[in-house]
Amino acid sequence: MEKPITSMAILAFPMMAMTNILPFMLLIDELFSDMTLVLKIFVLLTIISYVTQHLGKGPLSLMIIAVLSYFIIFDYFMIFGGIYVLYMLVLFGVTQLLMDFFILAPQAAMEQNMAGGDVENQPNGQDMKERQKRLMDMRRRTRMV
Amino acid sequence: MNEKGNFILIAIVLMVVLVFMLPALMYIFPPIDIIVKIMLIFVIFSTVKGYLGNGVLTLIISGILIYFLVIKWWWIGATGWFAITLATFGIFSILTWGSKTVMDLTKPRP
Repeated sequence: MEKPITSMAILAFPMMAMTNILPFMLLIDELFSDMTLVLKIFVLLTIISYVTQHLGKGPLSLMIIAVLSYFIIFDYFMIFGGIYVLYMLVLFGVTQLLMDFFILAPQAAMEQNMAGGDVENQPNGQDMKERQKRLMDMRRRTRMV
Repeated sequence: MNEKGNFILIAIVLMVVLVFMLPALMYIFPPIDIIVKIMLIFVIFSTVKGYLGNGVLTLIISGILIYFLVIKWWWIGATGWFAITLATFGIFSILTWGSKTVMDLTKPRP
């Protein structure tokens, strides 16, 4: 006999989902806002350092810092925040990593294609040893060694 | 998935595992937690000092950053610092090269 679906049962699943997901969503929201603040502080430090490096410490540099900070941190942060993150990634050598991928990944694909994708056809340490032995024998026969 | 995608995925997974080992170790062993947090405080303070020099502003900004990156979101701070350190020393390149050449994880197993 089928049990009647009550309104409590219908509400149970969304309520359970809400009680489980909501704290996680709140955590993500808090994390995102805090990390945005941290990123803005680092951008501000970069602006201050850049301007004082060029103009020294004076009223003009303070004015320029204020103007740049207004545009970069408050007005167009969605653009400049991304640019700053990209700049930092490049600075810490992520491009090197991409180059490694671009060099090694096609090599891996090529090796597998050459071997026909079969593990038995791929050379291993034993093959190399036998090849070396054959080479040495050949050299010995031709009195090269 | 083709070989190229497989290799890149394996390398990225290895990197993520390596980077998240530090917060895991910090969680398991409290002495490591304290040591890494002290190192993070030094790194943050010296970074801000490098930008602003000695002054009250340096102390304030360092305090804010230390609160967020060492106390509140310590695992993000530790992970980020560890990732930056590894990237600076080129460990990720070694890992990428090693996962292809030494470990040969892309080779199909019988």
